[in-house]
Amino acid sequence: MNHYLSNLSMKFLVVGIFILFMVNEVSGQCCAAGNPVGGDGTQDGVKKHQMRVFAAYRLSYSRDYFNGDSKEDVRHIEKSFYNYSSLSLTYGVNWRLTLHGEMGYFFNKVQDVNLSEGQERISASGAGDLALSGRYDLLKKKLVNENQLVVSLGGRLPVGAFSEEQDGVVIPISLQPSSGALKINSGLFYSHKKKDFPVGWSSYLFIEWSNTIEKDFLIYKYGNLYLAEVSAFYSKNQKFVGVLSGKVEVREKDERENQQEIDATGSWVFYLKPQLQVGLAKTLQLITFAEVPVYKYTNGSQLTNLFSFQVGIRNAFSL
Amino acid sequence: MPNPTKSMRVFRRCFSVFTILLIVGFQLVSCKKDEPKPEVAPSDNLSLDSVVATKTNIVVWEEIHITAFARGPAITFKWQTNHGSMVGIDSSTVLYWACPTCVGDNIVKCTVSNAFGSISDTLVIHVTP
Repeated sequence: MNHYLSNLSMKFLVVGIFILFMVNEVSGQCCAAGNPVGGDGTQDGVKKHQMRVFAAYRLSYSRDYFNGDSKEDVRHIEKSFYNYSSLSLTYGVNWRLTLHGEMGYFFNKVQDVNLSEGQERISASGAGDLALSGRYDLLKKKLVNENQLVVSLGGRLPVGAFSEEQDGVVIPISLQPSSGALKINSGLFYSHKKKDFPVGWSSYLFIEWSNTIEKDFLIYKYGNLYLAEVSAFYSKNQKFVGVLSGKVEVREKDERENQQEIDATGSWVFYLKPQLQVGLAKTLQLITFAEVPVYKYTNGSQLTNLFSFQVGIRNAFSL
Repeated sequence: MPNPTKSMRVFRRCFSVFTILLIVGFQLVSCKKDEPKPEVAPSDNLSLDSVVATKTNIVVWEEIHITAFARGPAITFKWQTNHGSMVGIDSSTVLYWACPTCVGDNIVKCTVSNAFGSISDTLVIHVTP
């Protein structure tokens, strides 16, 4: 019995660790704080007939302009930030296949801009995009380790608010809660952890393609997004997990009508992500992390992310 | 390990259904949109005589005013652009500017509407780096 309980706890622990690895943020293009990628972005599999519920709050804050890797001394946009909440469900269809869905809501998505007539605030709120994905674990279960090799395929459906107005003016797409575009993504996740050993590591590759937005006279296509992340973690007493991750995010240039590339879009950024998970009860965890860009390179002049922070609660149970 | 009780299983299923409904609810809220009013020909009830900008060739971050001259009772204005940002100055005028991603020929559209319908007009703002 004790052995069974120990194995069960270890599985929850490993699942929790994987969640920490996968929360992603995409920098805004030019002038706003960007959007979260696929909510909690988890890529791991869960047990057969297990349901996992994850609710989170996120703050993202952007301030400094960069051109290349140099900070610019300009303040056209004083700051941009958003407050976002999300709810995700992950269900294990069988031992290999996992389905994931997530929806989020922006309490606000804000840009403070310095104009000749004073500072103006442009703000929107509303539902974000719906993220859906399927994951397949390629590895057989082994007794000596908790390794996973998960391939995923998913998408984000632009079902959220994309026509928000302020004083009779439709606000820019970078501040709309929805991206407005259908996005298809794929990921490859590998984790390595031996049972009863407190240290492990994982790696993750992710690519996302966007279709072209064609709404009224707006024609816009987001550039392809590439993420690569490596993480190491340490766990103590199965109730505390500390994780340190390094993530590279590369985004290609956006396009407007006639497939014209937009020069001041596209970037690559290296982030550090300290993360923490604390067990509150047997299957209940508090999960928090910060994401800080330590190197940024932008094509042209772009507003860049200063930090983001997320805290969430996750519970898992069998159905 | 003891199996969950029946009441616990029911609770868990209800919780799952609730969360799914919550997500569906998000969708319904986000899909609720105002019906656009039909486009009508100019008349004494509603007309949009012109949409005028202080400049139509600007550089990045330069600010201009765009004004719509319209006639009719109880008119409301709606402003849209494919690239650039705007804020309302008063009911018929907006302040427009463009950030570095908005270089090119950008369309600004103004729609005026009231109980008799709606009328739209556009102009092009050329933005250079």
